[in-house]
Amino acid sequence: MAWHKPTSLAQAMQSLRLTSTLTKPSSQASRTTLNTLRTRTYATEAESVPAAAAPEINFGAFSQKPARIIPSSPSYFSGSPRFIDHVLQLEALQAKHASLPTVATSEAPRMAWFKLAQFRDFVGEPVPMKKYKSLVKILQRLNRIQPDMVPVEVRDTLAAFLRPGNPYAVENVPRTVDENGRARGKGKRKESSAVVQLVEGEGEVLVNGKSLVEAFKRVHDRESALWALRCTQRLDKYNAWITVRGGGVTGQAEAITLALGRALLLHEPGLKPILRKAGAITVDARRVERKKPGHVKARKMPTWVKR
Amino acid sequence: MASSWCWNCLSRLRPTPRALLPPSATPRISSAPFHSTAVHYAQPAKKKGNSLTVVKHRQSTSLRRKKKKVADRGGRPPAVGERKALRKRIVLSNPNALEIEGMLELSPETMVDSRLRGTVLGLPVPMIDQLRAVQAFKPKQGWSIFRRPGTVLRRDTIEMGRLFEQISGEGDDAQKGKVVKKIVTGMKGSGKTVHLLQAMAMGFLKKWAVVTIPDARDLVSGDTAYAAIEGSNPVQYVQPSATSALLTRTVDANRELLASLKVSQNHPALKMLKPSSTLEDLAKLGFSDPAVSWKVFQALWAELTATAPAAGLEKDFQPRPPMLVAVDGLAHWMVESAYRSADYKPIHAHDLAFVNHFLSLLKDGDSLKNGGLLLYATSSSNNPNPLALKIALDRLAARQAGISDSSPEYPQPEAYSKADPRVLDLLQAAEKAASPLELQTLSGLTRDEARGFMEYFARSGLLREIINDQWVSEKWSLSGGGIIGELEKLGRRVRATASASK
Amino acid sequence: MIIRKLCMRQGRQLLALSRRAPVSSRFQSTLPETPVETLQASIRDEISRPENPLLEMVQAQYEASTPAQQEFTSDEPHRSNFKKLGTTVKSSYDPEDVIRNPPKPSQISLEMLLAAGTHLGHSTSRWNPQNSRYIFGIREGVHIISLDVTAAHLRRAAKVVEEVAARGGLILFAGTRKGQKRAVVKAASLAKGYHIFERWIPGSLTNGEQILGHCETKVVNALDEELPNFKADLADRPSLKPDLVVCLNPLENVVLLHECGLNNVPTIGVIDTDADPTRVTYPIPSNDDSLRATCLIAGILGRAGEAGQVRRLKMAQEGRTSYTPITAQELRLDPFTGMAPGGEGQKK
Repeated sequence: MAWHKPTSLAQAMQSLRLTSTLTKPSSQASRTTLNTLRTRTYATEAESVPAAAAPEINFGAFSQKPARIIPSSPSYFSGSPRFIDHVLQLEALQAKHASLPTVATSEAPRMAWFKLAQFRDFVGEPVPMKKYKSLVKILQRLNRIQPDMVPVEVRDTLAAFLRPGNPYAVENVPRTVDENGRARGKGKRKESSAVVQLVEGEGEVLVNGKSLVEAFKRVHDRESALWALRCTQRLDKYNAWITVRGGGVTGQAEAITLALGRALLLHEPGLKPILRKAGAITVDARRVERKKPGHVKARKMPTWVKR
Repeated sequence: MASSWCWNCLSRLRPTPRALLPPSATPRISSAPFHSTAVHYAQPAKKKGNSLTVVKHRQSTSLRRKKKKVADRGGRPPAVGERKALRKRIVLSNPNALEIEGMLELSPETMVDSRLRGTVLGLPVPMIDQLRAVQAFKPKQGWSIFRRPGTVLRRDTIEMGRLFEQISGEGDDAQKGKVVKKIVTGMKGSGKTVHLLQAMAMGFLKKWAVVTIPDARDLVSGDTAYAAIEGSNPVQYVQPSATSALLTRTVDANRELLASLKVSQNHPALKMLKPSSTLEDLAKLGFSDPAVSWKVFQALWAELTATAPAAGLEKDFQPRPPMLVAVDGLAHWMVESAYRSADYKPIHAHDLAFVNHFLSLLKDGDSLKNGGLLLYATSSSNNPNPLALKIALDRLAARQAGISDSSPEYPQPEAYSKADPRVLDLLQAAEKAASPLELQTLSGLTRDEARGFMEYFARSGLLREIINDQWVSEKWSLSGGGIIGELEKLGRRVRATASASK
Repeated sequence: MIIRKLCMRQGRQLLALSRRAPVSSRFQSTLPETPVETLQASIRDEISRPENPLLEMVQAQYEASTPAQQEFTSDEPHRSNFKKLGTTVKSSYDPEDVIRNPPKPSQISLEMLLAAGTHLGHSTSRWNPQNSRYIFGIREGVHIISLDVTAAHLRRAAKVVEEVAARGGLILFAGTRKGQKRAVVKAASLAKGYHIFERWIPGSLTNGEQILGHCETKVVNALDEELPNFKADLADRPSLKPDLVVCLNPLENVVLLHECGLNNVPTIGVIDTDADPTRVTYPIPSNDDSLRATCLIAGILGRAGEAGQVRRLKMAQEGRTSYTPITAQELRLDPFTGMAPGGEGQKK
């Protein structure tokens, strides 16, 4: 019978009533109340079974008996419990070690945290980018603790969030002129990208196998393409073999400027201040702004007429 | 709005009869005359200005702007041919440019002097009319910025000068009567046409007979009259007016030479020719009557290439001089022309008798009996770019580089490409002729030549820069390795800051 | 006439007077003489020493290996010595206290509630008339919530939380406003409950299989020790539902409360004067815009839950449970059909 097993909520209500009222209600009344109240059972509670006499308590067996099914994490109902548990754990660590001395970000050891996809695999939950970034922020703050004072627990926790392998172990080798005396430089501008092979020579320039004049009709484009050599007065000292792809004429010319400047730096690193000042090794990262819906161009709005 | 109730007496006012009211656009207000007469008879209230414009249906709502009227400049339109004349006008002198002190002229001595390499030599003033007559100058070659026309003595020029000496039978290794055939190519602005001009100038200096076709396109563009030669198979076509124009040019340019030569052959086709007339008279027959111009041209050609007089005409025979034949824009002759045959098929350029005559000069072994120079230049400014010519020129270059035509490196037309077999056959035969065809590719100036050229600009007052090796090599690189046309563009660019900084 | 008006005016005051006196005496848990000090003292007694990494460093000074660590830890005694110098401020307010060490339900006093600002409602124009019975009056155009009602409802809610905890129910603390995170987490950890401090994902109850299906559950015994043997039986169980939801900001969590209503989950909510009290089962009329007030309420409820858990574990130590434990046999049955997984099991 259902009323034999009142829910714990009903029990709670009952005990409340018992404590608050002086008169003890009759058992009949409480039974009817409980009958009407009983509309659901606890998630953790089993289906109602006929009451039976309690067996003898066997403590060995009691501790082996299942009692409830409960979530394994207190953040069960958030939908991403493992991620939130990690965040809370890291926040607790951060608060605990807030007073330890820190170093500047540049001096902190370089750590390769999980990438977003790897982290999603790690926690097994679809974590959005924004939330993962906030977690990485905490990791970076913990990482900034002065390296010789990092507590062991912090070190262990941080190690759990590291990418497998160490991407920072490979030091990138500074580029130099190769054994044939060629310096290779790459440059981009707008949609164009250029590769320049620069060797010592007499000032011959070939662009995509054609002469400079055929590649660039405008004198201005030719001048801007060779600007790196021109501003350093090295036009008659080097030969350049240039491959340039994509974009329009101006973009190609200015991509060559950048590539040529970089290649020249490999031959003569001392020219850097001149090239920098002449703008030959300054990257122009501007690209075409995308068109937006509701606009005629990227920002232009349709004309508005009153009537 | 006035109410139809009188609020003092609370009685409903009788409305005015319709007929009494003036026809107006105002809303009809029904009330008694003693209450609101003024309202009725007042003028209808004027609407506000902007609401007067009636909005039509289906009108666009976008911004309406007044269209600009095309400015009417008034006056009459330019006369027929005026604008073309303006376009084709050739100005050879700029009185504002500085006179260059000690500028040498092109002469039989200077044109072979390798010490003068890189200097700009002026063209002799009396020769300019001759050069104008053969249309050696082209409008956009920058002649108009200098005081007087002059050309750079570059390596190719000196070599050509030596060639002229050889063929004329002078100098160290004289080879009188030699025929040299060349096709001149090169990038745009590399000086091909000016090279022809230099050749013509040298031809005039050496008293050669100079026959030129300044623009090969004129013969195939369908602008001039043409007629089929009866009985020819395959059908050939003559262009009388173009022929007479050529005769005019030739006579104007070589008047002195032609006047000194007498007719030495029999010309049965030309009945009106007197036996003792000069070649000038012969040619004049042609341009007075275009109908006979082709026959006159053939007669003149026979006279100029004659090595010995015909029987009975030995009296005044003088040995004929070598000839210079210069054609500019060869590629136009390697495609089908704009002319149509009787059954409305395009006529191939090789079927035009006039064109065929000049092309056969390339092919035949000793086409110029008295020796001479054939210079056929391609052009890159108005170029039909036929595939067959490209292959043929590649083959020519390969042969010059010593690649035999059985070797796999010898250029072949691509499979299924529509290379014109007539063109390939023509040039193949020309390669194997007794005096082989050569390919001369004009490249850029060397740095020294470029320096001389730029100094010429500076001395003419066009360029206000200190010309040193640094500067020259910079310009040399910018002009794609000394392409003279590009150098000229760089030289004439006026720098606003240059005068301020100096 | 005059007398009638006088009686009306004075009578109202008298009524108010007579009402207020028993309220104060009934709801004040502490003596009226020095209520604040006793509260402070009682709280101070229970202050546990917070974990201080600096102290750990001091203790680890002897083991300090690197010179930097030695330098840092050697300064620490001086620092702690200097901290003791100067005056000591006795009755100062530390905003962290209510989170670190929340009061017990038995310590609820009107002073505490007043200090936390639970009585401040919203502008009168924004009120929900259903709250009129919790409203004491109007001051400067703002509704004032009656503190005694707040205290009574808070006690009732604490009792509910405690009893549910004592019967092994799942208590979910939800406070999705900015700044409520720590209080919610702390309350959940005290009551061994569950917390939500970010957005409630709609459908977590009504469509739990989809949204919470991947979240882990476990089988525990009455002593809350995990029994790993039953892990395989948890595979296709429906997702769990809370048995009580405590919502600190019901206005923003209408969906959560609606889902609870659909699933017969009782709810406790902090009801401000502009909120609808019928959305929750057990309203606590209080200011829900003050962090201090909501943190206090969350803390008290967390403490109540803690007490309930202690009771439950004590009973379990004695081998008793106040709820019907799930049996091993039931665990093995298919949760939807009630049949054995093989398909031939007997219907229960």
